[in-house]
Amino acid sequence: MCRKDPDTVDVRFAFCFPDVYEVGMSHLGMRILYHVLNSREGTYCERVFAPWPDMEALMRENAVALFSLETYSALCEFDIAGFTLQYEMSYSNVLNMLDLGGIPLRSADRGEDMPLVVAGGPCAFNPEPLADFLDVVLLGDGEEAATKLVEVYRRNRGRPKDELLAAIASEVPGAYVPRFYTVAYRDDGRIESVRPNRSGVPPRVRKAILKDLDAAPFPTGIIVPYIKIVHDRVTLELFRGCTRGCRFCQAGYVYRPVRERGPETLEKQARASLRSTGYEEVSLSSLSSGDYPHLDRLITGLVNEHGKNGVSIALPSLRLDSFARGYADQLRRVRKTGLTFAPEAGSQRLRDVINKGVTEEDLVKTVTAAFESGWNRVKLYFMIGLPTETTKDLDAIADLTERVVDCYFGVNREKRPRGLDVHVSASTFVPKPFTPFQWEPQDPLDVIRQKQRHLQARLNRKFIHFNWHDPRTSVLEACFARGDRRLCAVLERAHALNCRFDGWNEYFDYDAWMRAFDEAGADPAFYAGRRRGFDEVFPYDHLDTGVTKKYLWEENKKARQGETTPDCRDGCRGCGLEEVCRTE
Amino acid sequence: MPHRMILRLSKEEPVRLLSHLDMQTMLQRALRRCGLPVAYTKGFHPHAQISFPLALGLGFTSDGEYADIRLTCPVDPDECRLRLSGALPEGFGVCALCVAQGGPKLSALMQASDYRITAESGEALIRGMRAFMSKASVTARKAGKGGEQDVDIRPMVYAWKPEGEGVTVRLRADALGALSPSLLMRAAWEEAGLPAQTPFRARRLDLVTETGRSLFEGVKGN
Repeated sequence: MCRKDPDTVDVRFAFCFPDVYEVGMSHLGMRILYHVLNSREGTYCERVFAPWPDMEALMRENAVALFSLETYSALCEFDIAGFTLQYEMSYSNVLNMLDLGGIPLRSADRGEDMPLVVAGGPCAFNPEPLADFLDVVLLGDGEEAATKLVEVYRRNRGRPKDELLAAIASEVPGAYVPRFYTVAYRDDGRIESVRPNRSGVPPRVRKAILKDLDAAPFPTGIIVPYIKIVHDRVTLELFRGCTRGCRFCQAGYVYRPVRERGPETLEKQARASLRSTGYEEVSLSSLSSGDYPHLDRLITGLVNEHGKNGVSIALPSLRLDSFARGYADQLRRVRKTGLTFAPEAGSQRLRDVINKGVTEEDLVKTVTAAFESGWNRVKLYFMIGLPTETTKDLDAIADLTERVVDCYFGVNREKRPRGLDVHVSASTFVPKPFTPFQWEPQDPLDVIRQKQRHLQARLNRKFIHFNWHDPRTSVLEACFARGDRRLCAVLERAHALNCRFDGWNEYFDYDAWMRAFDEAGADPAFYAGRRRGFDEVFPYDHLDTGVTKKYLWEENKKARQGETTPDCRDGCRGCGLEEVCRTE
Repeated sequence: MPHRMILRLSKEEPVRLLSHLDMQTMLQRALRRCGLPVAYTKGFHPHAQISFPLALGLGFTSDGEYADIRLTCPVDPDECRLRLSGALPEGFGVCALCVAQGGPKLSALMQASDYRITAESGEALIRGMRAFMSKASVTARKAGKGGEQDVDIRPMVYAWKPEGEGVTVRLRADALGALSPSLLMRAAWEEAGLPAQTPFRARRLDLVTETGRSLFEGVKGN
């Protein structure tokens, strides 16, 4: 870990991951920002994770405030507390960590002696449900924005909070200060407008875009944990953003334009990272690794250089249409890691609606290649509740899965490995902001349950394991994903009712959440189950990802016609980022 | 004859609460960082061929964490020691290192383990140990492969000595069985009239051979 003397640095930053150590330490974003901030001589970035409830109980009993791992300092002692918003169900943990750290929850209640509370990450693109609790939100790429934030903070500390925040809003790329905007509501409960309440503040805040990923700071000397964490390996980021345009995927849109790292850069980073950590696995990560143009060369290079040291290469969730037999051989040479594919929808019709352009033939070719190469376990991810979905589409999931089983038995008995295992996972569709589906309603709970039961019956067969998740978590996710500031009161109430670790089965308390909604006077169906019209003012319309609302609406219309939009690597589709984007 | 590297590591206060399993993982990665020619197992999950003669109980420090590492070729011990010292994280250190070819397994040579035990009340500790040692037999419930069993642990304490505020003990540790300080202390506290779970601290000083020599010297000598 990084060791500095807290008394000799000028800015103390607490990187707060709103989940447990095992999850947080796997997060690449934290590794990057920890490195970026600690590279600055005058800054000391320390890590803070959410304690498990049994530890939390002991801490409260013994009046021990939430502390950082590097120096055991209480969270309230820091200059800046930065949270990463990875997932809507972690919001209650954000509040709980502030509370445990001795920091007043509401921004307006915090004095000059309290840390600045900042947030970033994918969910920061709609931070409105947390607007009352956050001082600053950083939209987009964090590498340069985080450094700029610290610099501006240092130069303006001691000034009244409003002036400090004004300086941050004007000088830090992608910085959004919620208190500088006021929300007006219509009589029917929808938003009328979100407008600046002072001069010098832009009507829309544009996200920060890091242009050159090759030149971007990347940590090669990362912390190697002692205990087992979720992803215990070197992670390389091949590229950011995605050109496929799958209509349900928020990350693909908000992280546009695509910026790649060159294969030399990645090989250098892999070499340095493996040397400094001694890790056994390198993961090639991105939103669609199969699309990386130099993947062939990269995998071959890495296997040749590191394979003899017992290092394996992992390729999480490849697109079915890009997985090639060649890769299967390469990966198998070193070590077998599980194969996961995400067709998302069972029928071609529905796949076209969501613009996930893989075909059944792609799936057949891929899994056959996998079985022939020695894999006996395949995981398939699907979503249920997608727009325009019918029972036929659900049945298609089962048919597709059975086709996979057939592929296995189609492989020569001598060639195919023993013990077929097909895992099917069906999660509930959640409409996300800044996607073409942001106007869509989520299926009501009873409909989802019915669909799950239907699938369960169809998939109750040998070799097939069907995993499904409690849809009630998805309802809450849908509320917060497109939620507005009125949800702040719901969140605060839920926290008071002891809600935390909502992403974990053991602690998710749906009844407490419904009570929180009720007591705060908000209706979950308004947020999750309502179809929005073209004229809807979204709670986040004042935040700008570069992709235009008009483009998203056009995509929504195309979806309803079952019309696909090809990969924009093959030709610009005019999403709004044309000037910034360089598509090769 | 296969090349091996014998390591004697120390485990200090900062990592006292690290489990033996986590220490194994740590060592695997440290060896990789060093770039030493460690031999790997074949098959689908290759891992370094390292064996540990005796796991250390959780919560203790040690000057005697032994590891026997199979190498693919001979190495220069000084170079190894330098690299490994640099690669080990805070709290771990290299007490001794040697390279050998062939020879007996560490677990075959190992006969006993020496510990220094201290507690808040040194007086009660010494009193309890004295009473324990004066008995002909002491039965304790020991967890084994077949489940829990009643075992006479008195003969498993080969020697003891009051030293300052604590005691030094030599406990049985061979291929057929070992006595942990935790089990000993439960019995000793009972003898002293204190609750069995009364806290204590233990530091493993070394593992020794039949003649009472350090295990490290024993394997080196071969």
